[in-house]
Amino acid sequence: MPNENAEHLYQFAREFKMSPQNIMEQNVEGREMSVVTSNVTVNSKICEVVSSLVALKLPEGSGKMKSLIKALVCFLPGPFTPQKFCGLDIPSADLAKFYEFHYRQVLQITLERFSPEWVDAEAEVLISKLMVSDGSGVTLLYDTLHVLTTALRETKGPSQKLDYIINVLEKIMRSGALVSAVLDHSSDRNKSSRSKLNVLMIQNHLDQIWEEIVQLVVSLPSRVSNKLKYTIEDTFVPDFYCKVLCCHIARCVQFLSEAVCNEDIPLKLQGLSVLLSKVIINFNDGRKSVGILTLIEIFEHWCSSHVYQTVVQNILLNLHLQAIETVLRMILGKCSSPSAVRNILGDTVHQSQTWKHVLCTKMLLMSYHDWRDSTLVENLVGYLAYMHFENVRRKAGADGVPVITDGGILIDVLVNLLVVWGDGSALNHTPLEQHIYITQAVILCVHYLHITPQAEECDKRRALTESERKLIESRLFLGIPVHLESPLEPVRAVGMITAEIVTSVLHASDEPKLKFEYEGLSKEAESIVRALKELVPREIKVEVKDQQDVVRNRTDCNTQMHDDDTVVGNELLQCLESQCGLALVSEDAGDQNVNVREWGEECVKMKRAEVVDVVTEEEHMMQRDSDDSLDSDDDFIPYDMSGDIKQSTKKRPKYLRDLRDGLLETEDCERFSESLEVCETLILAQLPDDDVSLGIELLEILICLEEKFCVDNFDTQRYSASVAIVLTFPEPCAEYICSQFNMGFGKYSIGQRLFMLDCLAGAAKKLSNIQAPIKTSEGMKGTKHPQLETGRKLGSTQDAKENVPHKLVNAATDIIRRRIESHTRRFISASKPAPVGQANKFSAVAGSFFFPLLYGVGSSSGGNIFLSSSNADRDCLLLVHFLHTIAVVMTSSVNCTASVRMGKELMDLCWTLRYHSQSKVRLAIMGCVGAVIFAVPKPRLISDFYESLLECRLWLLDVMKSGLRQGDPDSECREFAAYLLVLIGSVIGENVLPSGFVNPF
Amino acid sequence: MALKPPDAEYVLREERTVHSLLFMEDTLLAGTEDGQISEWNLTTFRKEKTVLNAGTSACMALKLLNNTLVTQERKGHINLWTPQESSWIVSKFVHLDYCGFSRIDVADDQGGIVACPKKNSVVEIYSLKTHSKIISFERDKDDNVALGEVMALKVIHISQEPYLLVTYENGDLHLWDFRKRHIVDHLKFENCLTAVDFSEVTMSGICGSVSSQVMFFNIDKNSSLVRTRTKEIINPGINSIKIRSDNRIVALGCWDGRIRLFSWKSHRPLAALTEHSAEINDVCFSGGRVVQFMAAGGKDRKISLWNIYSTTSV
Repeated sequence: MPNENAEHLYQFAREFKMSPQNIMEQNVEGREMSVVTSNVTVNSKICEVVSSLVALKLPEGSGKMKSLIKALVCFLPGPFTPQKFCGLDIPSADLAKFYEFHYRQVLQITLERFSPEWVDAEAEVLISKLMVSDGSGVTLLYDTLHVLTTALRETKGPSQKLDYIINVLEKIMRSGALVSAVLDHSSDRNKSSRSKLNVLMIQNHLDQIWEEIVQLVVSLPSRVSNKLKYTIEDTFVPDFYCKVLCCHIARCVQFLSEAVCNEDIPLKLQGLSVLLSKVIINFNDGRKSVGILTLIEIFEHWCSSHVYQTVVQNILLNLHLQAIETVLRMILGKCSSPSAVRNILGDTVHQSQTWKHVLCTKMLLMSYHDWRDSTLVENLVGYLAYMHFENVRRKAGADGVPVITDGGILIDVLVNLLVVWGDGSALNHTPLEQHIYITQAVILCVHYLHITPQAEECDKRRALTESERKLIESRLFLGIPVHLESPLEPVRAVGMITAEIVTSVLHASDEPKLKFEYEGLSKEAESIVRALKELVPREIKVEVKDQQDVVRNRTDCNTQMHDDDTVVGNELLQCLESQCGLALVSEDAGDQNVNVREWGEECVKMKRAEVVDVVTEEEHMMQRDSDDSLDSDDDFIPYDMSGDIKQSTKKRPKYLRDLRDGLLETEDCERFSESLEVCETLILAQLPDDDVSLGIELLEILICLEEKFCVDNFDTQRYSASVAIVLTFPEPCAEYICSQFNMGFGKYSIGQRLFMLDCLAGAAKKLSNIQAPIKTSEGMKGTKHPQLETGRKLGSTQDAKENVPHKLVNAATDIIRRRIESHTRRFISASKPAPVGQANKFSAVAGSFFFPLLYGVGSSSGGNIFLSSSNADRDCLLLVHFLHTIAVVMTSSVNCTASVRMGKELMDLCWTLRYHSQSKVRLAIMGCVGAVIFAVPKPRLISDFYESLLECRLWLLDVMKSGLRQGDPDSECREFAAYLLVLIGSVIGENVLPSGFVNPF
Repeated sequence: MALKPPDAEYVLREERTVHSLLFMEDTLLAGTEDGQISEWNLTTFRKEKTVLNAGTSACMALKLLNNTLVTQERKGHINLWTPQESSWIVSKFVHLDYCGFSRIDVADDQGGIVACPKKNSVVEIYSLKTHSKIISFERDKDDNVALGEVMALKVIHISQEPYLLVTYENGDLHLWDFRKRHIVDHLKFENCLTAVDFSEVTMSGICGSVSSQVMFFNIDKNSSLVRTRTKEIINPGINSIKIRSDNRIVALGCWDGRIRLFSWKSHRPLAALTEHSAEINDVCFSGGRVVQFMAAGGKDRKISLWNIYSTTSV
């Protein structure tokens, strides 16, 4: 009996002679034809089929099952049409009942009974047809998704059923179901038909369902991947999935825009906003998601048309706060010009407080962006400028009063920016990058305020009133001294250039201009200055649409829908769809690339030719110059001219005591410079045979030496000579220097004390003789220590000079060895040369470099001077240098016996200073920690330092947090902390980086 | 390995700084700091008893013109000495208001002329016969370039016509024409030019300066100066330049006490002689009657005699 029923129903459906697409319409017509009996039949027959489905026993009745499902498929709705959207095409009460009550039941039963025993290929297709419907609308989609995801959760994998469920889900996501649901939800057709209360209730219900749908849709990739583990389908890879969703969203926008264009009906876009918010929040992929970016690009093109603008702006207006921030950042970074941003965002900044907050506060003051790429800030400020001037004009148009009464958005923003810009403590606690970002915004704001786009009609009034100008200036002048006092050069440069630009823009051309000197800036500061100088606002055209303009006739609308830019948008959408496999588009674009490459090669060739020309020119010059040697026969033979030397060389001291007097010379410039020049070699040659006291005397002279006469390389010669002395008598000299260093302020200038530190560091490096292992054979490579590597990195260029003869000797022995090798017959496998050992001269004296430096010798206070009186060292120059030196000494003591003890002391010092207010100091502290880890042997590190390393790790993890209000404000510190963490991890054998850590560099 | 340069043949010791030297037949005259001129016998290499008292300040220059000895005193007196039997008779010639470093020069034209440096970049030519000024070379009034004092001068002949080479403190080298009494050409060098010499045979000249540069120049057929080449010496400063009469070598008396020899043809450095310990004031070559001697005298009160690159054997 049930079987017959099913047959009848199917027959009945067939009798309508309709494809499933327009079953609804026909149904309506059918009703109009007043075939009441058939109506009753439909209702009752559906009920019968469903009940028979429930009662069916499987697998015996598999054939019946199929036919029943086949029958039900016919009653599913067709694809979504404009008619449905307008409420002209409504399913009959019977069908609605079926959708509302039976559909879910049918699906549940089908899935419950899904088993390989009766489901064959045909049944699979049938069932999927039952579940995947292009025009499912909100209710059906919700039922389907709900049933499927529940089944997904309950099914134990891996099984055929699981595969099938996922397959169906994939099909649903690729079908038009989602689009139809969005449109269904957006359409306002319910409004007209029923009473108000009812509408509200239904509306609430629909909204709830809709949110659940969105939640299900967004969570699908996670749900699926949780089940499938590693063998996930392409569709559910988040990136790809996001693209698919974006396609659907774009299609919805297209449909809705057309609807607006044709019908001019009120829109209800909250549903789409919810979906878009979720997509943005879940799939932005660090704001790099291709799908969302493409969607933005499509919007950018579409929004040249007013119709699209209305839709897109309405969608954006209702986005979730979290999504707003993300998508705004992506829009601002992606759009090509402020006017495009303006088209997309429209008047949102005035309409929504959330948007205003994000645009004017969050984006400007609480986040930052790489200053080298100024697109984002240009777009942002450009957009605000648009809004500012449009608002001003609107007001002017409305009131007829030309003066801006309450400043306007751009001026408010500028004042806020300047408050932050000039805040000294903010400057200390924010990263430099953010500060530059704020500066960029300030400069752009000022530029925009100056070039008033409405100049043509309101020459009489400036964009800025006098009082506003005064306000801006006073804020600026409060900030400038804060910048100029900063120890960081880039900050000073930023302060100078900003003051210069702002005043030059604000002031009339005849007033005196502020001007700073920029000579001697470091490269970084220079590039910042250049970037800030090059910031110029894009031109903006303000057109304020009057209220009447909004109402447009249909033809205008249609042309707008199909102008060039929107067509580009359509093409982009098609392209995206083809990427997702949603449509078919052939792609062939390659010719241009080839052309470009050829052109590039041409250029290279031409350049080379020029170079060759230059070379030949130079050769000619050489030839012309060298005719000196050409000589006639009858010329005299020259005598030996080697005795003809510089007169000053005669004054060169030959002995150490002469040298001492020479260095103290105050009259004879030549004697002084010659003494200095010969200083290092003389010390290295003679001092080892002389007394320590002479060495210390010389050292004292050198430390206090001033450049009495202008001498080339004064500093390097003084430095290398001092290092040479310390090398000769390491222990007494190091102790002497340390004691002098710790004498307290007053005796020595900061420069001299820095010099002492340099000497100590240089001597320590040389004594420990850290250098690259000599690569005589491959066998050596295996024994290379990481410590040696870093040591070499630390070693300065001065070592290179000395290594030259050493290398030559090595090369010679290498050649000899190879020749012998080639003539030797070996009966066993070739022996490997033993690694060459070197005495570590630093080992014995490491302590006298380290401890006196750290604690001071004979100083009355007994403690370290920096900890007690840091006031005299405002820029922390000395402290930073001191820490660097300590770190170098520490690193040099690799393999020394004292290294463990030294390491402990140093760790204690680090611990007290790690939250120092200056970033340079913190960086140096991290350097010290690194040095300890390098220098102390690994087993000792684990046995003696384990706890402090763990503490360090916590601290570094804290430092490394990237975010505005957490972590270290200095990017260099964060970067270094990351490296250090890896190092610590390698020692204590844990992966210390949090798994979600994405290297920001 | 090139040969070591030879030592000086003889070294004569004066009591004062030697400022000027002159070979006269078989004697060598040397003018010193205190204004006395001593006479050295070149056969016995001893000082003759005759000592001429040329003045109270340094004897800057000794020139021989038509059997008359012309001496220049630092403070500006130029005296004439004529030999009479075994003694010299001195007569006043002119007094110059010039206290610079430039030496006078002499020539046989018109029965003997003496070119004297004066203040304010002026050079005056006096006739030996009439004891009067015949020409004054001064720059045009409207020329605004400050030349500075005259640093060195040399009378030369181009096609038997007398011309005058003058170097100035600012590095200018001027060529004056006697007939036109006007400047013919000039060259500008970087440094103050302290010495100049010219060879009429090769029509080329050389300038020394306070720097370590030695400049060579030519005078072409149109009587214009052409700069040819620059050579570097080790230590800066040249006091005196002399080209040997056979036009093969040129000697430079330098501030570092060395005598540097260059080949006149190739301008190649030939030797740096190290006898003197202080700056050399004058270098001169003998006429070639006895031995081709080169003499140099300087601040270290020594006169060295050299026999170097001689074409005639000793």
